[in-house]
Amino acid sequence: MKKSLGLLIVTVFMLVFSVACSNESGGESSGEKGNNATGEAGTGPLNVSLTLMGGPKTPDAWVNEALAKDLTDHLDRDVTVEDIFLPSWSDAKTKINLMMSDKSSMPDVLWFWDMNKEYKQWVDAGVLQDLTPYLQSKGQNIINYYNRENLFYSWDPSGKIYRIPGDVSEPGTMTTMIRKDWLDNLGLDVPTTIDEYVDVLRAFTFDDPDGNGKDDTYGISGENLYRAFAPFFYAYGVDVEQFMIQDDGTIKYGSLMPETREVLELLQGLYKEGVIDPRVLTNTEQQDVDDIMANGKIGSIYRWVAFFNPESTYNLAFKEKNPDGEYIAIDPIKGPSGFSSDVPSDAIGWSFLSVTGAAEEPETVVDVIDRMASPETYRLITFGQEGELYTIDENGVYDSKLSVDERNKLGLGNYNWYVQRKDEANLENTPEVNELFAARDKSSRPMREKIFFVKSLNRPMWTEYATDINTLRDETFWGIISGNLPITAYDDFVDQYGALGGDKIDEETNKLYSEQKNQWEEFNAWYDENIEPYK
Amino acid sequence: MVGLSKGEKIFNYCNYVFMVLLLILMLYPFWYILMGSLSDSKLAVGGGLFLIPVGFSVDAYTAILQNSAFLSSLGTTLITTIAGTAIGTFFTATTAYALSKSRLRGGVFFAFIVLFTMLFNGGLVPNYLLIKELGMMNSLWALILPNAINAFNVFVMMSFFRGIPNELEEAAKIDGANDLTIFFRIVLPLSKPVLATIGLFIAVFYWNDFFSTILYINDKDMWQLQAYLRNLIENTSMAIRGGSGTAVTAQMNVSPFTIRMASIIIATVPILIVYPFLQKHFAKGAMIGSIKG
Repeated sequence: MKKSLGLLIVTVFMLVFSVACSNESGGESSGEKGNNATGEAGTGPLNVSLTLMGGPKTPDAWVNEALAKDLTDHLDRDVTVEDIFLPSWSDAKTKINLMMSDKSSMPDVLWFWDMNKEYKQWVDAGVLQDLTPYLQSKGQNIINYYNRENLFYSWDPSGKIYRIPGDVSEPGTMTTMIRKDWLDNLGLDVPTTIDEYVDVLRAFTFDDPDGNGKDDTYGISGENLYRAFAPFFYAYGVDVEQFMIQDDGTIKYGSLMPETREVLELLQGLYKEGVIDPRVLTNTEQQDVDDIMANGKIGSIYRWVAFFNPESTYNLAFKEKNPDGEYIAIDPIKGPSGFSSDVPSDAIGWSFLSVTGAAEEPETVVDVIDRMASPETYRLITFGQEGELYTIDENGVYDSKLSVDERNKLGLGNYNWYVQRKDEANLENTPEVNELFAARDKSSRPMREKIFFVKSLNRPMWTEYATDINTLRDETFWGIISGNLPITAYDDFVDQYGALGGDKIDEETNKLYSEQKNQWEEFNAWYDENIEPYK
Repeated sequence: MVGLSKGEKIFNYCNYVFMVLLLILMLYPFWYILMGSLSDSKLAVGGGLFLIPVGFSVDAYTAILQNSAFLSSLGTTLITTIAGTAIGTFFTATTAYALSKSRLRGGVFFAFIVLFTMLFNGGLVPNYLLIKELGMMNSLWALILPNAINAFNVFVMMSFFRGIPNELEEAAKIDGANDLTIFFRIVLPLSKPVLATIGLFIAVFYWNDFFSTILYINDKDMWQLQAYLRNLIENTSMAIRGGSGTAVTAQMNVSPFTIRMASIIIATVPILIVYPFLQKHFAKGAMIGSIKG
């Protein structure tokens, strides 16, 4: 018995060591870099490593080979693509930080998001490469796709570009949506002004628009974010989370503008009446809102344009439960002064690509990104081979021959957000949705011109005081909407703003505003000299 | 219920009813998860009670199991769990045994060193650099070795070993056994309860570990199971990153809810199965059959 126990231990150990050893050697060889140590644009085999966040993250997928082959043909040398899939959203930043902590573990191309502080450190430490010369020589697809403004927000005032956007949203991604079938049931017209809109919402709430005899509908729902009430705030020309350019040329925080008070008072009344879905106060996850929408008891909602793609999961879920239901997108609601606008996206982009010091042939690496950004290669790695994996009919409607699972297996989407194209190369949008995007681009412009999108990554006052101010704002505003606080609480908030550090924020932001105007001039000169001629 | 008074019988019945209700209360969350995971994703979003699956569907399981990364991540976790438990338990025992002996020269110093790691550590980046310089990046070793010995486990075992009477070892020594023989043939067989307990701690730790993947693994073929599931869940629930509202969820055919439920089942059931096998060791007394009287 005792002998066999000892024997067992020894056997287990031998087994364990042999398994682990064999795996180790396997791991090391796959981690080796290609033979690219020879320096400038070589002709030998090239290995390029990319950190990836999007898509199904399928390892060793078809798409990897397809991209490698495409790059091999394009560069006329052997190319292998090393996919480094970042872990889940909540852990990916840790991983990125660790990889960037040492040159030997840096990827050639770093994809990252939201890490302004770290990005600044990387730039200061000199571990990111200036892309300007390579964009000039190899980056035509990139500089032709991104517009002047996109690059401005990634431009370093020293006249260098250390990052390019990985994904910039369409200029207007959201729209007011309304139940067409309910309008028809109740014999109502599409609302255009705020008063008509409120009347329609009331009717949706109280007049049994779905005809089931139950009082189970709400006028408007959404997530626990101010943008859920964009049809109201934007009709009054205010975004409570943005810095707004005032008529006198100064900058003011949107929360402080008197229009905000009017809107809050209006919302408080509607909430009390029961027109606003009370779940707006608790919906913290996107998914909750998608579920509420799919259940089909909501008359109007401010939501994604992409919903109108018939194949979108939200649309499918909604149609499944409400075969006769129909949402339509309507133009932004006009406020008392006749102003109207949709929510504009910033031109900054939300994720970025940098070439690190680990890339020994930065020019070739930019060439690789540029190739991935070209419409043909973008379509190849995002949708697969035309004809084989998808078809486009004469109306321009894209039809995938594969199920979602099959597409995931091929790894389609693995290279998402490596210069994500929102133009015609994005086949999934139907022509109608593309039109709607174009319309929202236009209808979001009025507010785009009124909002100051801050470029600077160095905002000490904002960093220090904004959390407290915004916490107080959120408590106050949501408290007012829910009726727990009287509308006078708003005035208290405005009074406290300055004392909470708001004065310093205002000073800082106004200074940044004038600086940014100057920077924009400088950038334009730089752009005209360094980018425009190379397009 | 012979010989019970009426009052006692009523009490007993009430007791049973209460206990059954309590049982249902305890079991329902598990049942809910199981039924939720077997529900149709489009119908399940309505929420509510799940006594039976709404619109039976195994799509969530298919989505998780069919993914080629699932098998490799399951393999990684199995290897690291088995190897890690073997290595971890063995070295925890050897460390604890040595430290438990008062004749160990500098024993206090070594015990302090072990204790020190419970209170302080080098931090994330130094650890990362250490593993990298040791050449363990992207290998299973990085998933196994850094977590093999846990100071807390060492101290638990140490106090257990201290409870084994010295006379027992002295007796063995008189019979001609050396230290290794004593350790392997006397101490370890007597320590099955603590070995089972610590072994289970370690196994559960390795099974649940996802952070090592984040730190040390770049190659997705070597991701641990929990890292894979975590990524899958977040991918389905993080509908929006860029603002267009499509990018991520469009990848999946299933709802985050059913995926989450199915993931919980897949992640917990295998390790739950281990418990019954080790149960008898927990229950057994420590010293039965060694020293009596």
